[in-house]
Amino acid sequence: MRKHLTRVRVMILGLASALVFGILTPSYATTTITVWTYGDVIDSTLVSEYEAAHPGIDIKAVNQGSPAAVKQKFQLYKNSSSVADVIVYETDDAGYFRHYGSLFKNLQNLPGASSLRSNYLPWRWNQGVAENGYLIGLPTDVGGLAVAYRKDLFAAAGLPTTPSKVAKLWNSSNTATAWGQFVTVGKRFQSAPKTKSNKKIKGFIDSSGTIFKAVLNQGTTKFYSGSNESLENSQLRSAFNIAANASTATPAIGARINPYGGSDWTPGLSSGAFAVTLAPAWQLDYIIHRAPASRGKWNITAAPGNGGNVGGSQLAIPKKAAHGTQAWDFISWYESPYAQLKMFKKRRLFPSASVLYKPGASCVGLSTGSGDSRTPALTSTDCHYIRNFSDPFFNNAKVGAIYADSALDLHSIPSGPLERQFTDAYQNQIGRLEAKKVTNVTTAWNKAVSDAKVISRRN
Amino acid sequence: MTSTSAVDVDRSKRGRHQRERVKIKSDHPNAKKQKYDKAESRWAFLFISPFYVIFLIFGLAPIIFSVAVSFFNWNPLEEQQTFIGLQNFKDLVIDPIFWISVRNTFSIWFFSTIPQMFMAIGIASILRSPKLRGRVFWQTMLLLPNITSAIAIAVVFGQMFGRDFGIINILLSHINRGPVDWIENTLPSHIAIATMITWRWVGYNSLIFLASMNAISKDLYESADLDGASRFQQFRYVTLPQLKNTITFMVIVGTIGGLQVFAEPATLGGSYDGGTSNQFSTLTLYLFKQVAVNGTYGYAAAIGIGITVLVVIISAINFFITRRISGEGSK
Repeated sequence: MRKHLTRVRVMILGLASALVFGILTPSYATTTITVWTYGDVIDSTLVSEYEAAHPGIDIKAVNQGSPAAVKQKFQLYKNSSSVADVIVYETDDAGYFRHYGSLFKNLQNLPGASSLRSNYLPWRWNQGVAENGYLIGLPTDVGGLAVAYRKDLFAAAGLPTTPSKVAKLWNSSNTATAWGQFVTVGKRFQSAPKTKSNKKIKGFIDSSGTIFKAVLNQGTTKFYSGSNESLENSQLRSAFNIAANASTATPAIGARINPYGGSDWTPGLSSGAFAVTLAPAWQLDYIIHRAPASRGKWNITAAPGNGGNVGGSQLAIPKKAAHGTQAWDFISWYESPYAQLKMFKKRRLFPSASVLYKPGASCVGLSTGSGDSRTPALTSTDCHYIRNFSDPFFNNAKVGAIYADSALDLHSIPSGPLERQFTDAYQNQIGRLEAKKVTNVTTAWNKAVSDAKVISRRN
Repeated sequence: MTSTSAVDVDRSKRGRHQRERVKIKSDHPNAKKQKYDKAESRWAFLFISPFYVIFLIFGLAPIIFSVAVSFFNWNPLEEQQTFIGLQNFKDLVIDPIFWISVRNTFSIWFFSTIPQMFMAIGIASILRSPKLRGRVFWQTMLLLPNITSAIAIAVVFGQMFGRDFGIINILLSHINRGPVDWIENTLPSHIAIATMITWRWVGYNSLIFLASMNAISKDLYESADLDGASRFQQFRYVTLPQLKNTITFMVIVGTIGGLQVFAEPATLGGSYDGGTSNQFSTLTLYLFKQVAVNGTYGYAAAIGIGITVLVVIISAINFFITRRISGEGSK
């Protein structure tokens, strides 16, 4: 009797569990696409939308913490089948990955790829084209560059406050002159008498060191000429001098608050410790979320010089990726003009899909991808959204048009495998000038060059 | 061993065993202690093997591999690696950032280990006081910082040490000091990092001190009491000398930990440079930078060997000091 009862119990249990598993397990096999990413490049809302439209596909974004961590993991797993299906690399590393094109799938050969190129900013697109001609990555957003400034602090210092008048303060067509004008405005700002409204000021700009990268990206040469290293070229020297000039100005114009990773930046935004930050588009979302109380105090205008960019990434598919085709389907959807527009609306990430804002681009009716992944055709409203967008948080600044112009102004710059390290070497010397650890610009320059040469020799 | 339980053991085998035992007996004066025979000792190797197998795979093999890598210009994405002989080591010896990192590592070690020792002994003494209520609660709380991730601690302390809006500078401004730039300046940055390490480990160390204090014989205190020693004298002449071995242990463990400081400087600076002038770059941070940023695995391996050499030197110093201290103790 007892035995019999037990058997019944086992049967019931078995049936119940079969039922439960039957309900929980989908009837189709699930393909998991792994993405090695950093920061918040992969947006969960957008991923959910893709997953909902693609039953059986599961996107698993694994945040590695930093671009360097993704890079390192790729180095270790490049020849293993457990490498991710998609890796995210930052544009600072573009030169590095472009050098090793053969370790990636050539996306050019994948369905629908040939027609995509014209939808994107050419210089952003090229950051995904390897030295061997492979298309290894699709561009995510573009940083662009503009000046976000505090209207109230400008007014207190007797400076103009409307975007067009502020932009005129540094509107020289010569890059070096324009940045020189910017520094002059900074000095004027710093010399203004302290009043009740600006007593918390630590500097005109958060960090004068950020100018270096901004100027560098406005040119046509950084550290490479063709595929050769060029560590002392005139454009590099000029960018260094402009940033050094800003960093050694008297009175000092920088608050020495690093916007990228420093702990003082967020409180500084709210309290008015600085009046200006060189803001890539993605940084606007940071200002909105970290300093909600400063709503209405900011405005945005064009940066000195022509255009500008900081940041941005590329999504690439390693050669050994287990689900290459599905991964391509995902990234081509995820970076489609349709999806990039959504990211702009949600997080101010500025599309590298220039078809959305380039004058004369044929955007209406555009739809990319194939089959299930075909994106909805863009409407006329979509195509005018960015150009017409003004941001209520920033005093209705014409954010869309400002960033569109800054992104369209840039050129492709030759890059190489050591670009990130070289940038660090020069940037560090600007940082030391800013911190007054070295006072002579030529000394700092020579140190930067010699540090860069050591890096070059060791690789 | 051989006679009572072994009913169905092969006779001849049994006989051989006995012969062997006899042989051992005849050779060896202490043969009575030789409890195990050879066949059984083979099992012992099997039982201790997991550690050695794992050590071979995850310990020794990587060490040998990284020694090999240090002779190459090793770029993980290239198919072919270039042998460059001792070039990495030649570079290392004249690399100023390496030596700055050595200095920083020892400076941070000093600021974290020495004050921590005093604090831990102090906290342990308080915890041992019979007047203290809720002892278990306080002991548990002490371990909380230790189980918090080093990164989380570094993020929070990074905010506290902020130059413009950090709470420490705000407090300093009330006594008309500062503001101190806790990141740009060399010594303050070391103190900031040492504070994070101290916060994380002082509770743990206190508990170790507490345990060894509790192990000190009560008789010693009683006789000290009879001799009229005050509380402080008891602490100075009874507790402290009895803690000598624990202190030595702490210094060794602290040195091991000190050579591995990584998360704190990485988080404080937000990069692997350890500040614009490498003012708080540590040895492991500098090693990691070679791998993660520069992709120069060969040079990273050379730095690793450099660290090993330093560890050997420090261990030797430690060994001699410890031997001297314990030698004095036995006099």
